[in-house]
Amino acid sequence: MARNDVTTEQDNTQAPTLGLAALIECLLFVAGRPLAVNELGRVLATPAAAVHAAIEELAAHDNGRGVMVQRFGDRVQLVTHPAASSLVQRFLGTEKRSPLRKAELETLALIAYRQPVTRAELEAVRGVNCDRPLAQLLARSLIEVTGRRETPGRPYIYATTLEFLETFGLRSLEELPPH
Amino acid sequence: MVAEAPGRQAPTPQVPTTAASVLPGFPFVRLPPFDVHLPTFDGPLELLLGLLREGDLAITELALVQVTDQYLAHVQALRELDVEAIAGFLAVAAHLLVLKSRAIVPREPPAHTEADEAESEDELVARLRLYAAAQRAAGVLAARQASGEHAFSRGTPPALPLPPPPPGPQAKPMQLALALQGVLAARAADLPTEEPQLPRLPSLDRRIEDIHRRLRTSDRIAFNDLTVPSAGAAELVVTFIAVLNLWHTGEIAVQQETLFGDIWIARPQR
Repeated sequence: MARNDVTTEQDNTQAPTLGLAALIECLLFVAGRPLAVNELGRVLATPAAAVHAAIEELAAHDNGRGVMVQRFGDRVQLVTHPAASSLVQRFLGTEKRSPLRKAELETLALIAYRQPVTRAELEAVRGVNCDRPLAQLLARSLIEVTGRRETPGRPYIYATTLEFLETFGLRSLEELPPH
Repeated sequence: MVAEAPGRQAPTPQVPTTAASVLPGFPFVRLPPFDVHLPTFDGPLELLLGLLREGDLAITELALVQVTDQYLAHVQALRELDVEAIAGFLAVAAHLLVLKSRAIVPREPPAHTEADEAESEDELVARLRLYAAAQRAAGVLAARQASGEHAFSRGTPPALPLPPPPPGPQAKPMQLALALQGVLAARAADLPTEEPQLPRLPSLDRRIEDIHRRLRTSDRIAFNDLTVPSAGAAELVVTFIAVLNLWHTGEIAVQQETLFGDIWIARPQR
């Protein structure tokens, strides 16, 4: 279904043998940044549902490849396979960051499950103050403030970032255990 | 984990005096011991989960009723905690007691259907389930963190190598000044010796005079007629600024009849 040719109805010179998934791979490669599904749909002149299906297809076929498809919300990007992380790290010369502590990991997991979530909601579940873990996670860009909840006090709401998926080598949030 | 909770020490006067130090000169001021170690302390739900795990119980309302007494015993041991920390424990204790009382005292069969009953799962049970899931996920994340499974995106900036330290002995200010002069002298050789030729521009004053002179002979002039078609952008800009100036001081009136139409310049109506 996703193999339909977007090129035939358009007057361009794309090789007509490439499927939608491969075309998306091309765009992700040259973009070098996360692309939104509707952005891809606009460039490919393809409805979002078809783009979604093609991304699924692309993600399903990256076994044994050096790069994999990472999805978060409506954004997609190509990232290196986590199994190559020490090699890439050596090549880039990046420093390994100090590991997150248990409280931070728990808070992060809760945000991943319940996003977007307020601090009060996190604290209700963990039963303890979450200020410090939140500050630490924000400082590392693993989470971000995505807005405010329109309730009394208009508290900030937090969500995880693509950086979170990158840091833990996850293809998507679905790779976390179900809750 | 669970064992940590009762053993937690709060930085309060209950801290053993042997560990506390005294501020020199102020014997009445007792500093908290600087080796105070607060174990990571994860609150009442962690304690509850631990108790359920110990008893090999699933997270259900019934199981919570079963561990209520153990939980209360633990809370008893937490007395040295600060008020804020213990409040969460007490809130959960109260919740457990409500559950227990409900289990002991038979209630009127509820009027609503069983489906409703199943839907309204106890809020504490729901929180515990979520917390347990978050703990599992945290475990997964910790494992990935430990094995360093990082996925790099194209955006990952490569770390810039630090500039090497300056070689040789530390330079003195005079040496630095001499070195700088050497660099400047070398650069001076590359610089063009002639003054660059800049295009000559009509001065703003000349332009203003020009507009005044032309307004003496005609009622109104078009902006486009103030410059020759071959005039460069710079001349156009100077002319435009001249018009703006005159308009600003009220010496001319400016009118544009249509969008992108000619700008007409006239003497102001008095």
